[in-house]
Amino acid sequence: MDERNDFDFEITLDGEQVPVRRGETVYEVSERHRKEIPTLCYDPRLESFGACRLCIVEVEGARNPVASCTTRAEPGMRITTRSARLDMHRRVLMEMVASENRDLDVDPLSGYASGEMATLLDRYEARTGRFSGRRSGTSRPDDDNPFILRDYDNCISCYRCVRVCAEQEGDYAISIMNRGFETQITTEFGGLLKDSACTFCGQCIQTCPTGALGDLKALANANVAGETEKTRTVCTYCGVGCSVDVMTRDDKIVGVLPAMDGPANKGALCVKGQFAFDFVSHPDRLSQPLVRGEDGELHATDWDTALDRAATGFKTTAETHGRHSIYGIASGRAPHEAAYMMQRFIRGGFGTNQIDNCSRA
Amino acid sequence: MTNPTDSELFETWRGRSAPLLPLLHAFHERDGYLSEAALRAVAAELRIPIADLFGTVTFYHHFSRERDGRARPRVCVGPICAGRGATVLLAELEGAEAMPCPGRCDDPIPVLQGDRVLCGTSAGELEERPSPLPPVPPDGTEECVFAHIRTPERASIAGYGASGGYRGLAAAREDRPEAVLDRIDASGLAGRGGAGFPTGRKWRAVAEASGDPKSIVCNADEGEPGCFKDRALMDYDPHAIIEGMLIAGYATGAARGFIYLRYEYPETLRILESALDEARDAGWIGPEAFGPDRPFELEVRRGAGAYICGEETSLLNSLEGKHPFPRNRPPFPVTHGYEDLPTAVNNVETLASVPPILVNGADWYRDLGMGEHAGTKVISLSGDIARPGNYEVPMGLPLRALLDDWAGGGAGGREIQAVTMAGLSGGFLAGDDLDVTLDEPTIRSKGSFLGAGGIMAFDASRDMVDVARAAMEFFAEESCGKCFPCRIGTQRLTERLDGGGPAELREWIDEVNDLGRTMKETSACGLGQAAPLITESLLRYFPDAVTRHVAG
Repeated sequence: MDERNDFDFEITLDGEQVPVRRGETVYEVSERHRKEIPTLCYDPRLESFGACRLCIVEVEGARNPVASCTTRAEPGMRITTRSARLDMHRRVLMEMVASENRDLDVDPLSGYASGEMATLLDRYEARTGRFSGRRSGTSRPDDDNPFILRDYDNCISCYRCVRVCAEQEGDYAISIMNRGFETQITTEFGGLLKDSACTFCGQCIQTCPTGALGDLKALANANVAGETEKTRTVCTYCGVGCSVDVMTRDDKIVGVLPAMDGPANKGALCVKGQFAFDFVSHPDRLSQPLVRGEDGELHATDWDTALDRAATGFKTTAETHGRHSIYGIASGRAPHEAAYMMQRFIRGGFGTNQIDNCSRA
Repeated sequence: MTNPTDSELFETWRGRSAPLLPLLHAFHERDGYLSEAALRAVAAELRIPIADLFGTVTFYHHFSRERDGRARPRVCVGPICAGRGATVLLAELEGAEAMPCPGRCDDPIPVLQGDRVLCGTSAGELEERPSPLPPVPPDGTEECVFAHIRTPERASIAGYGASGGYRGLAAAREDRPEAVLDRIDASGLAGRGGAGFPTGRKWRAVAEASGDPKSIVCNADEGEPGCFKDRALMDYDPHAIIEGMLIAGYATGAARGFIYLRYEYPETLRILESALDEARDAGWIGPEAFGPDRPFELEVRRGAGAYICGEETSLLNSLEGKHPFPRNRPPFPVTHGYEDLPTAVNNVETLASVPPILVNGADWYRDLGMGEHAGTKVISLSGDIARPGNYEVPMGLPLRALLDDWAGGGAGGREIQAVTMAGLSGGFLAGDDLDVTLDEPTIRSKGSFLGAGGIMAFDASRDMVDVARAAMEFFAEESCGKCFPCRIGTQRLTERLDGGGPAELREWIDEVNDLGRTMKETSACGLGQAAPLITESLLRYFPDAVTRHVAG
């Protein structure tokens, strides 16, 4: 789509005239011009919220800075995104946020956005230890679900988790309890996630900017050595086609990140796509072919023997009962390439269209 | 009498506006607390996610989640009552909980018990009594909203009518709505809840906005510590507020109104409901309020204890049954208010000023003020003062005249070392700055503001650092928790006034100033913007006390 000509008016952004579409926020316009305005409560997929106040900009004629994420650009506005005054406020705000948390740095395997706070602490040189005092948030080590770490001692109450749960997933499983510094992310009646409306999609984890919510499946691999590599692929579990970045270290899968730019999912995943990757290197997996012996039990063997046995079985069946006596069903846990080969095998090998996949949801 | 069943309660509120708060109150009253079963039933009835409803209920002070919790006594520990033995009383009363200022500073110490307010400074003295009437002003100073408040039976529709009631509405209806807006503009009436926005401009914006039905919302959530003026107006002149809302409805084209009343005024709730019944029976409110097919419906909604709900957009969220965080502005309530439709949110005192303006004329009202200042302002004066109470003063009256000539000076003849402004929100004035006149430009020039008009006096026996600590603790307690500078800043300032923070004075002051400046300039609403005026003015007027405090 050609978007070059659909601008409605101009504003002045750091001294430069820039075009704006009606309805855009000052933050959105600034992002387009790579102003790198800092944020902590912002997630482009969610309604602007205006909590962290880091995205403040100066608007000519206004006494105080305004939050750019909740301010619509108006014709003729003159905006300053960087100034000594803004830097001072941003640094103080970052020092304030740092003062309420137990940890300033978390394992990057915690989640997609988990390093956002630490990055801004460095950018604004805010690791000063000023404003020390009581920490906010109470962790829930009692929540023994296998997927989501609830480490609220590192929560900064940006409510991205609550908002993504409501606005993106539509689960409304979590909410905000109490007021002020006593604010706490909660489920209904303060219970465990498994007793709530949570579907364990993991989106709360991936939007959390501090790692207060963490991916327990990925964090279990924190000790795996090696650089983390990311490989873009498509989730195999169903037909939606969610894009994922599979994280590996030394060819071992250590975690899955949703692709924020995935055309089908825009950062969303479900419990399977997000967490169900550890079967790949699970010790219970077969590591060699088995064939059933005369005794009715399965016995380890070599590939030639196993393939011969399978080939004989298929051929005999097809010759005896016809090609449509063959039916193939591929597994959602197999890679796409294997699924493709499977259908070639059934269609080309036997001449039947009786091929399916358990991912056909 | 048997208790109503769940479905009977739901039936009462089905299809009506703003049903969440009244339904929660109905269950709270029936069961004595809000049980899990009650919340699940309400969530299902109103189709609210249960996690959201649970979270929202925990936002309010007075919804109890413990069995029999509703009946537990709540003792005011606000700035005035704290200085009059509130902690002792709290310990004396079995099962008692502390509550922030419930607006009875002219008659301390209030204890809220179920639907009753008892007052007294010790357990043995507690009694239920009507709230005090405003003292008579000196030298026959002319009043606007208090002109008839001391007339016996003024709270009944008969008494109200006998002393000129509903004549303002009659005068308005003889004219086009446009002409009513012109008259309110000409009077110079501005919002008396604290923000001071010109009332005529607000109403005109609602009148001109598209979207129906429009609403008039009376902000009766008087939560600012040291403010109790709206309570006096509602207790003794409820029809004036109803009439003001009807005139607002007529002028703006609104068809419905709500009075959002704070939880802590249970007797006021009964007075308002009885006045509304009378006004409905008399036909002032109802399907033909402004003529054939010109309805105006008006109902009270009771809050549940949350200071932030006095902020108009929090109030609207609360009314709508949402989490009471303030909304981002713009858009403003005049175009996107109750249910995202045009809404005028006005304070009680503002609305009560409207009928006399229409009866006596815009010039009359304007001339009540001194110099170029228009009209009057009710000041709730309390603390170490000989005659605490509500005083309707001409705008521009010298503060000293109010303290000394009107209210008899410091209690026991002692000197007043400081006063608060705008309840607590304006911080302190002290020293030579007590020579201000009571009008917004003058007080703002001193780094404070008049706001809702609560003034608390403190004599030299009071520890101002401790007064500041209690004030900041209140703001921390009441911060909604949405924006970072307020949520964290009020907590950190409280800790620093309570012995925390750097041990070295310069560092302590730097931290307090840095926190305060960022709160003032980046907080999302007035709470976080105003709270640091406490520390700012403490450092300005009492630097030696601060030095001693930090030295420990």
